[in-house]
This record gives sequence, C-alpha cells and structure tokens, in this order.
Amino acid sequence: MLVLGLMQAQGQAVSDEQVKAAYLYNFAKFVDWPAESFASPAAPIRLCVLNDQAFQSQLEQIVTGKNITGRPVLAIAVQTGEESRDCHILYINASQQPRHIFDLLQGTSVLTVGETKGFLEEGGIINFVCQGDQVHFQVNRKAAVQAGLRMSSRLLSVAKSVIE
Amino acid sequence: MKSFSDWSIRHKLTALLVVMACVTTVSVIVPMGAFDLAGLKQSMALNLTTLSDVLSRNSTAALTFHDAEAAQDVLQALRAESSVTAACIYAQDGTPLALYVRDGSTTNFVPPPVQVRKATFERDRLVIFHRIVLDSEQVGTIYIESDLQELHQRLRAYNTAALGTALIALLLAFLLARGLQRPISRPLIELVHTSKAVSQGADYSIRAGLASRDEFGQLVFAFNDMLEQIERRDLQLRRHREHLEEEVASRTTELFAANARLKLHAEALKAAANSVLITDLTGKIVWCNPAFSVSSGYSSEEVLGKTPRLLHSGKHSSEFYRQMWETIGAGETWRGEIVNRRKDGELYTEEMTITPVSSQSGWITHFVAIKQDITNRKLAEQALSQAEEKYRAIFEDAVIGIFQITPEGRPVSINRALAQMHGYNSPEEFLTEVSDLSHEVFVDPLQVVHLLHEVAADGQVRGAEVEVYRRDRTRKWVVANMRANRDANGEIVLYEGTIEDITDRKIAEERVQFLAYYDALTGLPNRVLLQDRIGRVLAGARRRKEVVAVLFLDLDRFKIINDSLGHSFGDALLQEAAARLQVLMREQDTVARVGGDEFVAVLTSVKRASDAAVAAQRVVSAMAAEFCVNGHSINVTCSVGISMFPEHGLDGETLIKNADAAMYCAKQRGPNNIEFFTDDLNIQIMERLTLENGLRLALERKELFLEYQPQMDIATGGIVGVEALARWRHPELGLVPPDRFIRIAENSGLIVPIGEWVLMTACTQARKWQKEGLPPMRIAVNVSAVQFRQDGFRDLIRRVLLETELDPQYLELELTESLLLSNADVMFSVLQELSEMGLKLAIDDFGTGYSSLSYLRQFPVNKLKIDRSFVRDVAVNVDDAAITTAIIGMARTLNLKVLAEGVEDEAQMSFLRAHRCDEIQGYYFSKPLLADDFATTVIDATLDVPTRVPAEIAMQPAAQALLPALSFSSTESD
Repeated sequence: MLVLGLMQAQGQAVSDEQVKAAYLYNFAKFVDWPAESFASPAAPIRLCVLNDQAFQSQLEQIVTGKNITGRPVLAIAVQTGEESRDCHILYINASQQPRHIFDLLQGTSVLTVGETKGFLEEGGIINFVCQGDQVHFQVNRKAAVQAGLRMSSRLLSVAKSVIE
Repeated sequence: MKSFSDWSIRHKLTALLVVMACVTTVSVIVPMGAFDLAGLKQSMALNLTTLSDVLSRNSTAALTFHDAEAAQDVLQALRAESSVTAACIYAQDGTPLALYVRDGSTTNFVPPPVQVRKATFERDRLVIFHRIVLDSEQVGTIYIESDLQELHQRLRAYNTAALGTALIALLLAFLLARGLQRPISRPLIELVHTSKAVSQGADYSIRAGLASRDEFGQLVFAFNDMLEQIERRDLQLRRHREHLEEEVASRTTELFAANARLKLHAEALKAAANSVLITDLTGKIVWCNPAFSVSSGYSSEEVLGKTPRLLHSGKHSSEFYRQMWETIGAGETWRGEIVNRRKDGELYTEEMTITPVSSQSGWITHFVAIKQDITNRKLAEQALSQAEEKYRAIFEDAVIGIFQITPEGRPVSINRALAQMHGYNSPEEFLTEVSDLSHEVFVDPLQVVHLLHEVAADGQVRGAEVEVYRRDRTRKWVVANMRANRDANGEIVLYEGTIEDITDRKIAEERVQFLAYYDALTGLPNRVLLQDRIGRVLAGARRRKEVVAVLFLDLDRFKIINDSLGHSFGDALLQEAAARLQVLMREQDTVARVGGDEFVAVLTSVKRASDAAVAAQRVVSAMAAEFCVNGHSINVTCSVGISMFPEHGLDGETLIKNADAAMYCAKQRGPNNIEFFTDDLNIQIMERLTLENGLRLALERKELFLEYQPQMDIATGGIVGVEALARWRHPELGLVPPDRFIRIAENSGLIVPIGEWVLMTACTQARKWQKEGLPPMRIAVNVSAVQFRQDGFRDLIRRVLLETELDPQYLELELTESLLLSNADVMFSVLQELSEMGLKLAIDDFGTGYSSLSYLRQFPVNKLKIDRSFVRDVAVNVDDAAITTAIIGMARTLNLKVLAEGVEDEAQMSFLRAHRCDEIQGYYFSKPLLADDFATTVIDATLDVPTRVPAEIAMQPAAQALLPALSFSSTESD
C-alpha cells in the first residue's frame, strides 16, 4: 500500500503489474515458511520471478531496503524450475507453463503465485484475477498446506476465493 | 437563644457527637464515589483500546490488499458492542476504507490526526484513533467512538445510595449521643451541688459522694482530700505556738555557757606560735594574736580595722589574690604559700590557711587566717632544687652515656647520649623498649651478671669493655664504669654508671691486628702469617707423610708497569691478581703476598710434583687473561717457581727461598714459565750468591778495571771513538764474564756504584789521553737502566764532567732500547737535557729490542749500534743482511750515525762498507785494550797505516768473537 501510495503521489499511473508486484511483497507478510527453509534467523526472503525481467525490476524497486520480521527481502530473477527450489515465493506469469515447474517444486516450501486461469487447479497456491480495474487473488489452501506453508487467516479473509 | 458556650454540658455533648458522625460519613462516601468512578472510566478506556487493537489486527490484510469489503466485514463485528456508536478504518493516505455507525446514532468522521493512540474522554463520548501496523509499518488508522451511558447510570445509582446512608447515620448518632453523655455530665453536676453547700456553711466536714473510678472519681476524691487537709492544719497551728515558748527559755541558758568557752579559745590563740588573723567578710582585720605582731612587725592596734593588703609584697599577681578570694568566698578553705612584706620592708614567706567562718544561718561572717613563717625552709628548698637542676643538666647533656639500673638489670633512667648510642631517639623510647639489659643489650648475657657481682663486691668497676647490641641488632663496643648506690642499710638500691662508645677504637685495634698479619692492599696473608701457616701445614704433613708444594709467583715487568702507569694502577692490578689467585686456591691452601709483586701459595694434600705443576699452570693461565684495570686493558705475564716438601726443604723458609730461586730461573727462560727447584739450581744460586758477595767487595778491593775498544770510521779508517768496557777479575774465579756480573750487579743494585765508578774512570782516562796529546775522541760508556732511572743521574753526569774536565761532546752514553720504552715521557725529558748539555747518545744492541726506528725519532739520539748478532752472519745470511741494510738505510733517513758491533772479518767489513755503514767496532779492527795499550795503538795507528791493526788481530779470528771470556784471557796474556 505504501509503495503504491508513493507511486500515485508521484503522479504515475499504477499498472496491474505494479499492483501485483506490491501484492507479491505483501504476501510474504502473511505467510510463515517452515524454519528449515531459511539458512539462519537473518537469512533473506527470496522473491523469485520466472523469466520476466520487467516484473522482476518492478519488484526490485519495491523490496529494496525492506525487511519482513527482521529478514531482508530480495527480488531474484530465475530461468528454470531447478533454480526456483530455493525461492520462498515464485511468480509465474501467464506466458509460462506452470505444470512442469510444480513437478520440480515437489517437496519444497515455495509459495507459487500465478496469473493464469486454472493455475490453482494445476497445483499453484495463489492466483491473481482482475475484475475491472481491481486486482484480486485466489488461494489454494490445500496446496499451501502441502507445501508446509502457514497462511494467516487475515490473508484468507481478503482472498477472492479459497479452495480448500 | 443562648450561645453555644452557655449551653448545658448535656446538650453540648449530644451536638458534638452528632456533628462528628456526619463528618465521618461524608468523608467516607465522597472519596469512595470518586474512586469508583475513576476506576470505571479507566476500565472503559481500556476496553476501547483493546477493541481497537483487535480490529487493527483484523483489518491489516484488508488494508494491505485494499479490500474495502473485507474491511467492512471487520467493522461489522462492532454490532456486538452496544456502547460503540461509530467506527472507521482509514487507509494510509487518510481516505476512509470502511465505516460503521450504530443504528440511530449520528457522527462526524474527521480525518485521522497524526500520531494519536490514547483513548480520550470528550464531553459525551469516548474516542480513540489507533494506528494499524503490519510488520512495524503503518498501513492505516482505525477510529472508534463510544457513548458514556454506562458512566452516567453508575453516577446516578451512587448518588441515591450516598444520600440514604447519610440520613440513617444522622439519626443513629442523635439517638446514641443522648444516652452516652449521661455518665459524663451527672457527676459534675453533683460536685457542683456539694461545693456550693461547703462554701455557704464554711463547714469542712461535708464530703462529696464517690461515683466512679474515672477522672471524675479522682476529682471528687481530691476535693474531699483537700477538705480534710484544711481541717488538720487548723489543729497543728495551735500546737506549734505552745512549743516555741518553751524553746526560747532553754536557749538563753546555753548562751551563757558558750561565752565562757569562747574566752578560753581566745586565750589559746593568743599563746599560739603561729600567726592568727581574723577578718570580717569585707577583709577588715578584727583580731590578731601576738605571734602575728612578732612575724609582721605590726602591733595589734596598727592593723585593726585595716585589711591584710597592708602586708602585700607585690610578688603575686592580682590573679593570685582573686583566686584566693574566690576560694574563700565560696566557703572553701584556701591553703598556700604567700610572700608578704614586714613593717620594716623585708620580705618573708608564709604558709597560710584561710578558713571561712559561717554563722548558723550559713552566711560567711569572718575569715580566719593561720600562718607560719617558712622563709628559711624556702631558701633551703631553693638551693636544693638548683643543685638538682644542675645535676639533671649534666645528666641530660653529657656526651657520655649515663644510666641507672636496678639490681635485676632493669634500666631505670638513662640520658640522651646513651639512648642515641644505642640507636634510640630518646631515653623514653629506650626505657619503653628495653626491660632487661642482660638479654636485650648485652651480647654476652652472662657478662652483665658478672659485672654486677663485681660492683657489689668492690663497690665499683672501671673501664669494663662490653659488646652491646644497638636497636638494629648491630653490635657496638663500649667501655663501662659502674658503681653501686646503697641505701641506709647498705642494701644496693641501684647501680649507676657511665658508658662510652669505643667502637672506633675497637675497629682501629682490629685493623692493627689485621695489618700485622695481612697485606693491607690485597687482604692476603702477609709474610708473617705465611710463616705461621706454612709451619702448621708442614707439621701436619710431616705427621701424615704428605707432600706440600710451595709456589712462588712473580709478575713479569711489574716495575715497568708501576712506573709507567702509576702506582694506583699498579695497586689495582695487584688487587686483581690477588683476587684471581684466591679464586684458584682451595680452602686449605694459603696464598700470601710476600713482596711488591711476589705471591706465595702453599698447596697441601699434593700427591705428586705434577699436581703442583698443574696448579702452577692454572695460575699462569689465570694471570695471562687480560686485566682490565681503571679502564685500561693490559696483558701481564708471570713466572712461577715451585718447591716441594720434603724433597726441596724441611722448613718454610727454605721452601720459600727455593721456590723463589726456581721462579728466578723460570723468569730467565722467558715469560709465563714454570720451573721446579733443582739441585743444579741450588748450585747456580750458590754461585750467584758467591759472585754477588764478591762483587760487593770488588770496588773497594779494586778488582774492577776497564778495557777500551776502538771504533773506526769506515770511510777514513781512523779511530773516531772508544767504548769503555767493565772487567772484573775475581781473586779465586779469575775473570768473570761481564754479562754475568753485570746482571748480578743490576739485580742487587750494585750497578749504581759500579756504574758511577765506570763513568768516572772512563772520563778521567779520556781526559788523560787528551792531556797526553792523543787526538780527542768520544768515549762511549754503557748506562744500565737501573742506573739511568736514579733520580740523581743527571747530577752525576754533571759532577763527572766537572771533576774530569772532559768536554761533554766527547762523552757518549750507550743506552738500550728497552730503557727508552720503559717510561717514555720521563726518558724523553732526561735525554733531552743530556743532549742539551752536549752529550752524545747511542742506542746499544740495536735490533734486539721492540722499538721501531721511527719511534726513535722522538728521542735526541745520535747513533745506533747494530747488534753483533746481526753483524756476525751479515755476509752469509740473507735475513741478517736485510735487517742490517734496513737499519743502515733508515738511520740515514733519520740522520743518525750507524756503528756495526762485532765485526770480525773482511767479508763483514766489505758488506758494511758497501752498504755505507759509518763506523765499525770489533776484532777485525781491534780487540778491547787496556788503557796503556790503547794509547800505544792509537799513536801507532795515527803514525802508521791504519790497516796494521786488523792484520795483527787476524791471528785469532772466530774464537774471539764467539767467546768473549776467552778473549779476555787472551787480552790478559797480551
């Protein structure tokens, strides 16, 4: 919100991509990862973007200098599913094929975020949906539980829909 | 209406109790109500804060993801809270995201202020602005408003309850007060009635009735008691008056008896020997006895009515009199001495007691002074105290220590000098710390007992030398004089005496003792102690059949070191050498210094001669190490001679003498040598002694004579000089080789008279030849180092030249190189002076010494004489030829003449001539000749061809050169 607020204040039109990038950062505040997914108490939260340079730089602007529960936040560009296994959040845009990546992420605690219809059904955890000029999101709670992620009920309460 | 103070006590008490009950009730109810309301307000504020906290948390996700619907859901939860009237969630930019208003309420939403959190009571509502924070980042603000209905309800209920309670309390208080005041007011009222009855009837027998045990009861009791006392006093007053009348009658009788007694006392006072003076309270004299008139000179009539100030001497301060008056004025007796003045002006001292006399009522009425004239006693006391003072001054200031001790040895008094002698600052300090002399002061505790016995027996002890401890336990020698102080029965009360510090004297005595047996410089035993030690060692060795070695050590060239570097340097060197020797020796061995640079070591428990040799070698090595003395480094060599007991002698003296001989022999062989004593050596020594003894007599027996060897100028072939050579013909041994007897002469000091004789004889001869018409030529005379160092040497030369009338230019002194080196500075000045006198100076035996030619440049030398050892093989040995050539060459550059000694054949002659040597001396030209022969030869040589002389000598060539002694025999045969 703060980030978006700043952008609006500077007179820029806020695009859906900027909103999604800000949401991606905010998700991290409402999700608990298992302790073993961090190397140390001060290890960074890795927000990864798969093959989307533009989105990654958007995200980078937002997270630079930010901390969540004492951890620094990094925006990281990844090219392959293998690289993504270390991520905490992985954003997969509409031009990617998510199914293959979900297979590779089996057994990890990566919060996958997509923007494609049917993303959740294929095993994704959060999916953005646009209604008019509003960006909403849906949550696959089952997939989140399988990945060992604990989501705040507050996050679930603002989700457009929750698949149990 | 009556004022409150006029009310009956009954009404007063009732009113008081009712008022107090009211005050108590109000002061409880009002604070309780205030406290309860404050608590309620606090809990309402807390509720609202908690509510806003919960809502904040729940709305974070809605704010983060900007979900107004979700935010609205959150606010709907407020429906359960009946008091909340309105709420709003603001986004971070201040725009409201969700609103809630309770049905039927209205409110105005205002934008959230910056940084508001606390719940605040406004007039009719409670509001709160609460920051919504997610992960320490503010994402929005929540506003909640609540009504105060609950508060108002509670206030109303409270007011009603308080009023009711207050009314009930008032009623109860009134009823209780009416009952309670009764026990207080009733006894008072009764007492009032009783007192009224007493005062109206003046009847003190009426009593009030007792009611209770409290204060009212006591009041009634006291009132009754008072009435009873008044009644009793009435009765007593009557009885007293009757008693007083009887008393007056009896006192009158007593008064007559007292007057009679007083008269008797007055007579006694008049007869008393002491002065008695009575004054009244103001000091006026009212009575004095005849004794007073006698001592003061004033008659009774003269002093009556006056004050004792009449007697004032002016010797006491006004303070003295003031204190006196103060004492007696206070009713106390004053005692003291006072100096008064007689009528005739004379001073006298009185011991006086003034006693105040009081009347029966306790007031002082008179003073009685009783006085005794103590002028004579006073004078005696003064004399005694002066004497004591004088004695004390002597005691305190004496430089010698003075003491008094009890027969048990405990010090009673001492003076300062004694305390200081023992290292204490004051006599007090000494007396505090020392309680028992025999153990704490005397080094030998028995000695003090012994001394006290002696004093007890003889009455005194004089000059006892005692060793004592000082305070720091160092020791000190003192000499003590003591005597006993007895009481009238002859028992000893105290010992007293004087103490004198003789530590310095003791040290000096010990030093003298030490010096008698030890060498002061090195601290080693001296010859005396050595003799003693060696005697004991030999006695022991003889019993145990052991071997003893005696080492005699002498530092080489020590005399030169001492002369050139100074005595203090020499002393330090000897100390160091002594220290090194001591380190080497075992405990049972003795090292002694027996002479200037001579040391003797006596080694016991030596098994073989080789052990002694090893020890000697260690001594030599120790001395060979470089000495660092007074900042100089110097290398010293030494010679050691060894003699063994019993092989080389049976007594110490012989062993030392023989070791000395062996040392002498070792020294002959060169530095750092060790030599054992041998029988051969013994023979040599005997021979040397024989020669030395003979030499002593040689001069007076005229056994010495001179031979003269001519010196030839190579260039001209003419005689240019002559060397005088000393010869000694011993009556039994015949001719003694000069090198032998000259050395003995040098060692024994005989060289001085012999040298003087040679000089005188040679110069006389030279002058005689000149007078006889021979051509003038230099006469060369050898001067020994010993001779040269004599202080009077220069004077000797002057005297000889004066007596013989020889022109100084014809006298040539031959010196050795080592002589020049020994003490260069002194030598230089002496040589300079001789040179200035016109003498010629030649260096003899040149080349055998240490000096370089350039060193000679400093000295005023005229000639070098090349040593015969070089000349002998000059024609056949390349080295000798080279040295000779070099000497000639360098002498030339230094502008010195060169003379070759010991030239015996033509080959040598040709070499020298070829290398332009200036002069020669030797058998080739002429052997040494007796004076007469020489004259003849010279005359012949000047008359004939110069080659004649060598021709004659050529008959006896090599033998003459090799064995000078033989050549003397041949000379003799000439």
